[in-house]
Order: sequence, then structure tokens, then C-alpha cells
Amino acid sequence: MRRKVLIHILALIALIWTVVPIVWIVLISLMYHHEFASADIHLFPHQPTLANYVRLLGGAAPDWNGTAQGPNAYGPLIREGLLNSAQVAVWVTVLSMIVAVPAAYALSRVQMRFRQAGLLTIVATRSIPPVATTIPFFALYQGLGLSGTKTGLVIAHMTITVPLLVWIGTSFFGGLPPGLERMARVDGCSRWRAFARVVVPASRHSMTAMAVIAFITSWDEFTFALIFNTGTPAQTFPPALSSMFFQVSVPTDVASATVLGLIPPLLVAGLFQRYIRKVNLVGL
Amino acid sequence: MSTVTKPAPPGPAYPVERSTGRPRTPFSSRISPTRFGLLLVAPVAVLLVAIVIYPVAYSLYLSLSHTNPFTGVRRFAGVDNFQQVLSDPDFWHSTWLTVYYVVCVTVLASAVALGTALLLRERFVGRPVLMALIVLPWSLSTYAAGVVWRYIFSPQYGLLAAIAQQLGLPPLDLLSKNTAIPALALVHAWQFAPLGAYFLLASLQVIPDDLYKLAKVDGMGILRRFRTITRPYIRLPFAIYVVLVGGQAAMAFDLIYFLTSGGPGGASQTLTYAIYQETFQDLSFGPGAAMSWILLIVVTVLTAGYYVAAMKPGSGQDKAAEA
Repeated sequence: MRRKVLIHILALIALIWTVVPIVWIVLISLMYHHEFASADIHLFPHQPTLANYVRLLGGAAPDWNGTAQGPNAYGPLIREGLLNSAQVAVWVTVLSMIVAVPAAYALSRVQMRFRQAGLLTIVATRSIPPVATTIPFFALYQGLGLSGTKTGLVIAHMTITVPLLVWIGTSFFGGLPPGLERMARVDGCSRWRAFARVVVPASRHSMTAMAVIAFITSWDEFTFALIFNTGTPAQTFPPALSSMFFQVSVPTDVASATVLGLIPPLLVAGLFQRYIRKVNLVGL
Repeated sequence: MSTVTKPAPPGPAYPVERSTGRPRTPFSSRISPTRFGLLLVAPVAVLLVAIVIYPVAYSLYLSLSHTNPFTGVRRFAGVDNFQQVLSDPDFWHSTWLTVYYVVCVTVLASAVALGTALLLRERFVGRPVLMALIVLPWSLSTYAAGVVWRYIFSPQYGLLAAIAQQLGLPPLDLLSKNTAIPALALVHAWQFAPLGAYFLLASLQVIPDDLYKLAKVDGMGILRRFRTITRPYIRLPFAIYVVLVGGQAAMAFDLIYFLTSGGPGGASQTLTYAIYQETFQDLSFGPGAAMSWILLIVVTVLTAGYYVAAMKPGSGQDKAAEA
């Protein structure tokens, strides 16, 4: 009995530890600045409002006492950032999938020489820290005119996503039934058709998971985005948030911007949750 | 019903390749499997050479040259940059902070992860809910986690400061000089413990319940049971997790950027942050690249060393069988 009580207390602590920081920022984003700045800080807003979000998205919303308030000055920055992030993430996803899927297939299922060596080399590139690549990328991009462009950021993100997808993909394709291609070949498919018409459709769920992971990885990447694209028209969401965070001191506005940036990846992850479940977490 | 069925066109009902007289084998089946495989891998290989191998080699070149930040002119410098970095007390200060940070993160994250995994193995009300919610910190972007915890730690508007104030305690600032590194490590652990918890839980669930029952009958205490039954099962996954988290901690940047920006007064200026400042704020590419190479080499050597040590034969599951 004492053990049961203890376990429930520990579970409660684990719950608080896990969710309170996130709940807190969401609650702040729903408060008027006036209420947040008042002397007594409390968890739940007395006067919950979506005004911070409305003003960030370009609308006008009255303040707590009814005074008119125009759109947030940082709205355009955040909105452009979200759009740019989405564009970059989609391109990264598409391009990474195009190159990584065939490679992952070959490295896991084709009876080829150099398989182990190839896989090891690709996985080894995953252990190179971003700081080691930002410096040369920065220097090279200045010469190539890619600094501050979405193209440049897409390329930089692919240094992370491509090895990651190959690694995850090999375990996915390796899990398919062993005789799949042989059956297709007996039915008259060429090697390529066995891959393109049989293996790819059979693993569409796993490939959805791979695409989702590429999207989220690109969306969440901070270092490259900060260093290459801060203050440029191609600025993505993380550097936009960073400028807002370090320049304004209205915590309620920053909180709502942060929450806005969390929505797309959580939405994508939520929609495709049952596919991502299967990913070996430690591969990430 | 009344539609008139048109007479089928002559020839087979399915499209066939125009026969050229001899049967043609498709290209992908004519070549050897190795060639076919290499053709599929080729795009990735070319891409990685262009965007990973070449830049890394270029950074080695940068670390061996002097770059004028205004004109961009470079000249060969030999090991000057490395010498300059290694004789700089700031570099050693950053190295020490990095080690301190890595140790803090590893200890906190593995403790939280193990604790959570052991807890999730038990039965309690709301377990599925906790199971689902526990991934939340991990699914947050790291920079977002930084902002989120700013609202906990900030001495002006943070939750902890508010609680301290309402309890009548002196003002609490966990991001001050002496506590900055442990506080950052706490956030890092908060974010990466869920991954470890899931990973360890998978190994814990393999252990047969009977082992624990037998041990209880034998009068083993909870610690003995953990040592003799649980530990052999989780030793390997635990080691892998520790390496993963430690390596990640050594590269941490986003959190530090948002929570302390290396401050106060350089108190959280770890190597990654020092590299960022040196290279992108002071635009001195040579020393920056040299530092990034030192970090890369140290991390790789330590990680490899740890893997070798952890995967020595004799550890892991075979011991569990003896227990």
C-alpha cells in the first residue's frame, strides 16, 4: 500500500516536471501583458484572450481594458519566418527523400558489395557536429552568393537530413519480407521495377514516417538558420523568433510567437503519429 | 444495358513493348547487383561528398590559414591558429565549462531517464496519459525549449522567481554566474530524458517478472534486486544512451544561445558558444575553425573510446542469464 502511494506521488512529480514548463508558456501566451506584468503572478489567466495571437497574425484586438491595439510590429517578421520555414522544410523533405530512399533501399536489400562500408561511411557523416560545418559553409556561401538564401539553407539542412534518412530507411526496408523482390522478379519485373513498383508501395507508411522526420528536423534546425539567414528576406522562423526574443521585452508576445512556431511540427507529428511510432528512436 | 460492345481491337489486351525481334532485358536487370546498388547509392554519395566531405576538408584548410576578415584574403599559416587557441586561457576556460556541462547533463539526463523508465514499468492510475505526455519535451525544438525555460528561470518574470517571491524567499536567479551551467544542464536533461526513458523502458519490459518474485522470496532488498536483475539487462542500452546524450551535450548551442548567451560574464561560454562568437561575431575564421576541429576530435575519440569500453564482451544480456 505504501508502495502504491509512493508510485502515484512519483508519477505526479513526473507529470508536473514534464508538462508545467510547456503549459506555463501556453498560459502566458493567453494573458494580456497587463495581467502578466501585475505584481501577483498566477498560473491561470483570469481574463484569457487570443489577442496576442490575433495581433501577431496581423489583426487588431482590444487590450484588457478595451483600449484599441493595432497589429504587432513583429507580426510580419514572424509570419514571413513561418512561411520561409515551411518552404525550406518542404524542399528539404522532397529532395532528401529523392536521394535517400533509393540509397537506403540499396544498402539494406540489394545483394551488393561495399554494403557495410557504404552504410558506415554515410552514418559516420552523422556524427559531424553542425559547428564543424557552419564555418566552411559560411565561408563558401559568401563566395557562391548562397548566404541568406533559402537554397543555401536547404542545402545546409540536407547535410543533416540525408544521412539521417538513409539510416532510418535501411532499418525500414530491412524489415520487409525477405522474398518480396524475388516474387516480383518471377512475375517479370526488372530490378528497378521491383523496387519502384513493389517495394516502394509496400513501404509507403515507413516512407511517410521518413518524410515527417525530414520535415521536422528541418523545421527545428537552429544553428544554420541563425548564422546564414538572420536579417535577410529568406529568414526562417527560428532566427525571426530570436530577433524578437532579444529585442522586445513583451513576454506575452514572445510566448505566443513561440507557441505559433511549435504548432506546425506538432501538427505534422500528430497527424502521422502512428507511422512515426515505429522509428527506432535512438536512430535520431 | 443497351450499349453495344465494341469489338475488341486485334492483338493482346495489355500493352506490350514493341518487339524488336530479340527479347530485351531491362537495363537494371542486365547489370550486376553490385552495379545496380551502386547506381542507387550514387546520388547520395555525390551529394555527401559535395556538401559534407568537401566543407569539412575546407574547414581544415581554414584552420590552417590566416583570413583577413575584411578583404577575405587568405594565406597559409601552418599550425599558428592551433597554437594561438591552445595558449589562450579563454579556450581552456571554455573546455572546462564544456566538460562540466557534459557531466551535469549526462548525470541528470540518465538519472531522470532511468527513474522515469522504472516508474513507467509500474502500474498506476493515468499511466497511459503520462506515457503519451512524456514525449512532449523531446518533440519540442531545442530553441523553443530554451525560450520555454526562460519563462521558468527569468529573475524578472520567471515562474520560479514568482514562487520564491510568494513564499517570501530571497529573489531566485538560477541563471546567475555560479548556477548557469547546472541550470542549462537541467533544461537539456528535461528535453532528452524522455528519449532515454523510452529506450530503457523497452529493455526493462523484457525482464521476466518471475525473476523479481524469486528474488523477493530469497529475501533480496530493492537495491540488491536492481543490481543483480535489472542492471545486466539495461547496461548496454544505458551505455548507448549515455554516449548519445554526452555527445549531444558537447555540441549544445541553441539552449545556451537562448537562455544565457554564454553569460553572465562568460560563465556559460562552452566551446560551441566560443566557436560561434569567435567565428561569427569576431569573424576570425582561422581560430574558430581550429577550435571546431579540436572539439570534433575530442568528441570523436571519447565517444569511440566509450563505445569500445561499453561493448566489451561479457557485459550485457549473457550475465542476465546467470542471475
